[in-house]
Amino acid sequence: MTHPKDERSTQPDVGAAPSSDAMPDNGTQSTNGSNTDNQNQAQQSAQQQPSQEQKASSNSTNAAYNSGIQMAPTPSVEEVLAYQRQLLSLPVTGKLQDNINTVRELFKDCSDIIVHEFDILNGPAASLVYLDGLSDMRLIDLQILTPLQHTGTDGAHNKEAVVKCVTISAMLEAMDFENVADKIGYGHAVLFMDGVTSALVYDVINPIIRSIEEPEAETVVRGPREGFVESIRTNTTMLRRRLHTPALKMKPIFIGRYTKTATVIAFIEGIADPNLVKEMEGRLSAIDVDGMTDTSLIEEWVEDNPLSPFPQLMSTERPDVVTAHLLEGKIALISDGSPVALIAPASFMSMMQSPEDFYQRSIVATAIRWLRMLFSLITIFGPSFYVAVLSYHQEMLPTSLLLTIAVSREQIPFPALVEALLMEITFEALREAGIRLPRQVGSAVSIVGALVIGQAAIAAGIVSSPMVMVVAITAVSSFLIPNYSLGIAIRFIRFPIMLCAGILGLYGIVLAALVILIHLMTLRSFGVPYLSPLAPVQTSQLKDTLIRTSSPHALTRPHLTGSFFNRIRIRTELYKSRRNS
Amino acid sequence: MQPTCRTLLTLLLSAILLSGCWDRIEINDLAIITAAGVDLTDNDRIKLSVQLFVPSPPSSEQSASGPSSGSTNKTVVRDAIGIDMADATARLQERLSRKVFWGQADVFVFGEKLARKSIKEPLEFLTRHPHPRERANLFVSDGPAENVLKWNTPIERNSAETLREMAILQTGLNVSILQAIEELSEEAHTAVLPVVHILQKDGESSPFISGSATFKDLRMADRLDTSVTRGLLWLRNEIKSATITSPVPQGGGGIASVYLFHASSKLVPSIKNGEWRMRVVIDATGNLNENTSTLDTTKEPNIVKLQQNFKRTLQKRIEETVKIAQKSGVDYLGFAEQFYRHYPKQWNKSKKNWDEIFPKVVVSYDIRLVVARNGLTGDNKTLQQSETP
Repeated sequence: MTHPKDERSTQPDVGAAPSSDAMPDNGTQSTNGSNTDNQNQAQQSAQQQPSQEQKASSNSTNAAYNSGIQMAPTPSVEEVLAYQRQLLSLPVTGKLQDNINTVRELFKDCSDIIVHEFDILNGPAASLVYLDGLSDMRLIDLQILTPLQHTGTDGAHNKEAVVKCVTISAMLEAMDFENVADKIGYGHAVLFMDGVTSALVYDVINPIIRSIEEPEAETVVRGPREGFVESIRTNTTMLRRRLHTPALKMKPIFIGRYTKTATVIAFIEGIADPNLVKEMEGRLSAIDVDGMTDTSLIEEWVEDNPLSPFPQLMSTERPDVVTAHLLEGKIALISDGSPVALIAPASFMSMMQSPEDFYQRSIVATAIRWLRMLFSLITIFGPSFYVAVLSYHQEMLPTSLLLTIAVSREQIPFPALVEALLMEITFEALREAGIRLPRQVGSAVSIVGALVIGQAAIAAGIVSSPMVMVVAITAVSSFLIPNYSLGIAIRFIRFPIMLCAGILGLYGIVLAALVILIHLMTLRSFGVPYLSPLAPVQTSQLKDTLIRTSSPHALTRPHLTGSFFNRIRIRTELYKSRRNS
Repeated sequence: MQPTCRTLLTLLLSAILLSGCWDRIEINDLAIITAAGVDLTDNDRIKLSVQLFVPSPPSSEQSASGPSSGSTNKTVVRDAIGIDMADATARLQERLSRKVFWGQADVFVFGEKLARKSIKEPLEFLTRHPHPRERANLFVSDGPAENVLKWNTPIERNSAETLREMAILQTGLNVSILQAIEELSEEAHTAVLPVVHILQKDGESSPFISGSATFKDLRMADRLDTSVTRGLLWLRNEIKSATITSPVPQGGGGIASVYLFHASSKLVPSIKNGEWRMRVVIDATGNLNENTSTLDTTKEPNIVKLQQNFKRTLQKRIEETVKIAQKSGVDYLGFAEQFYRHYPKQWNKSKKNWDEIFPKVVVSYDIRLVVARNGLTGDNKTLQQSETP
């Protein structure tokens, strides 16, 4: 189906997000069914208002639809959407055949829909609808069909008897077809019964997920090796396994009119600022897209400054990282179908930290942290500094070094700036090729790459050997930045700085650095200054920024936003008394 | 796009087009001057000769076998004659295909003829022009400065590097442009520059720093030989290390040497009853290097005796320098500055006739020399002659 531009104006269409309490596998028992009923009815009445008007207007064409859409001349987008809306707004009726017809019409041309019609032993005629592959067939056979057809309901024709008979705990009740369609779409099995005006929804989702592996982009030497997978339930489980507390809240929200991607906002009640959670909910609810395929798209919708090259939400594949940040009062977003969790608010310095920092001894981790910051500076300013000094400030170099560079640059046809840009762009291209290439040709690229950035380039007289060294150091240092999106941002801002250096020398570098610094100062992630705790200075947090203090000394949590601040992180009375005795 | 964004973008783009990288110059277009010499021609014009670095790129065969060493160290000397330094530089530029670059010039040599006339002119250029380094070394050459630059040194990269390294060793003076300017601005208006002497031997020439030249009112006044220059270094507190050798009359006529690794000196002026006095306080510590006398250096009294000997030798050396300075009447010892600092009132009164006072200044010495270690051998029995009965 095509999505014309004006489609947005016709919402709510097929993909209106289901209410949050009807999460696909919430495992809600039938005992709280009444509550669900009320809400569903309220929703139903609200949605029936517009659709009935449309029904009246398109009444004449309804016959054409029923006799088969293909026979009619190509329908307009509005007609197709209106028909879908109309079908979805229908309530579940007491007549089994009507319900089956509606389901068949909704899932027309869906080859994977299974409508299983059967008679309950000593009970009403029934029909079980589910999607092939999404639902677990063995579970359906053993837990639904076997009891219903072998045990039966002892002549009772109401749903309570059926509920008693079926041995699946995760059950919901659906009153209208919008709900029903959503549930079927998630892989639930829906049971219609003759004479019952609601459908029973059984959670028989067949979880097909890849196994939990170590995230390749964030490896550690010491520390847990679990990484998130594409299934949200597995991911939330991983979090729950680390935070065995009811205070760990996971607010669900569904994003995408067609994809209906389940997303949860995870936070710890009592630590996270409730206003922060509210703000996140508000920003998420403003997302109205047809499809959400990855958390990176959510990031673009909720971040404060979409034009900045710097990531304003931290992304990670590691549940231990998410746990640590939740304990600092931050909130995390986990989305179905994406192994990457988002953490908000994020600061520049938190993205300069590796999980490894907290698994190694604090002195070593501090040293590595400083090394990382030093090399980040080299990444940003290394090539620019080289260009500036060689084009404008030759007197700054020690004489011997200048003479050596002069010798090596003698035959180079390009100015230093062009040479630097050439090599840096080539390196970026090689890096990108290395990621995208199929594994089989990877070695070929590395061989060619070594030739391009190496002795062959020097021998060909295109670049000088000091330049190759500068590029190599820059390349290595850029990968010291633990966060990939921050690393890539830093790698790319060095090109404008290089241009500034080529135009204005060291003065240009200073100007560019100032512009970047001012930009970083103005950036905010959910109200938290991007450079905090460095600017504005939060002295209590410097011990987890400039150094990595050992756990018993990290007394307080960072203060992120608002007045809700659970300050004390640890209590050391016992620790101190034991050590002193 | 927002209007502000558009304006900013336009401004940025125009900045790129307008600027045109006006100061940018590639290394390939630089004539890197490693040293410069200034001479006076017969018709009183300035002859500027510069030593240029010739970057000869490694050929492809050489690059395969690692960095080549010999061929990269080429220098050439070019000269130009002009009315003043700037004029000579402009004329020099006419004869070069690359832009003259002073930024790496470490050594400036003044010819003796020019020095005798006045070094005002080259110093003015070197301090006013932004490119020459203030920390470049200044030398006075015995003959024409050009000869020093033309000398091809076998050890260092070029003769400029050789001279600079020699100066750093501080066997002679090590005077930078900044230091010379500072000294000239002091009360006595004197300066001392090291002299480069070219030694001719077996058809080979090898320059080395031999002695120093004293300047009074920007004009070369006197030549000091090496030993007097060493005495001068003591007075100026520029001695880093020194070896003092003295005969040992108490120990059978042998000689002993001490290597002083710590040395400092201080000038303490005093004016009493109209008599201008200067006390030279010297503090030195050293190790005994050699002892061919019969004195047993493991005994404390003998060490004291040795120390007395060394003190005498040192004092004699400094006294000689002071005598020469007082005789010539040029105060390059720094006395004037000390009197000015400690007795500003008296100094201001008798500033004008300092040239008469200076030769009459009474100099006394207060030398403290300690032989800290007497060496591993102590009393060297193996090398002693058998005692004749």
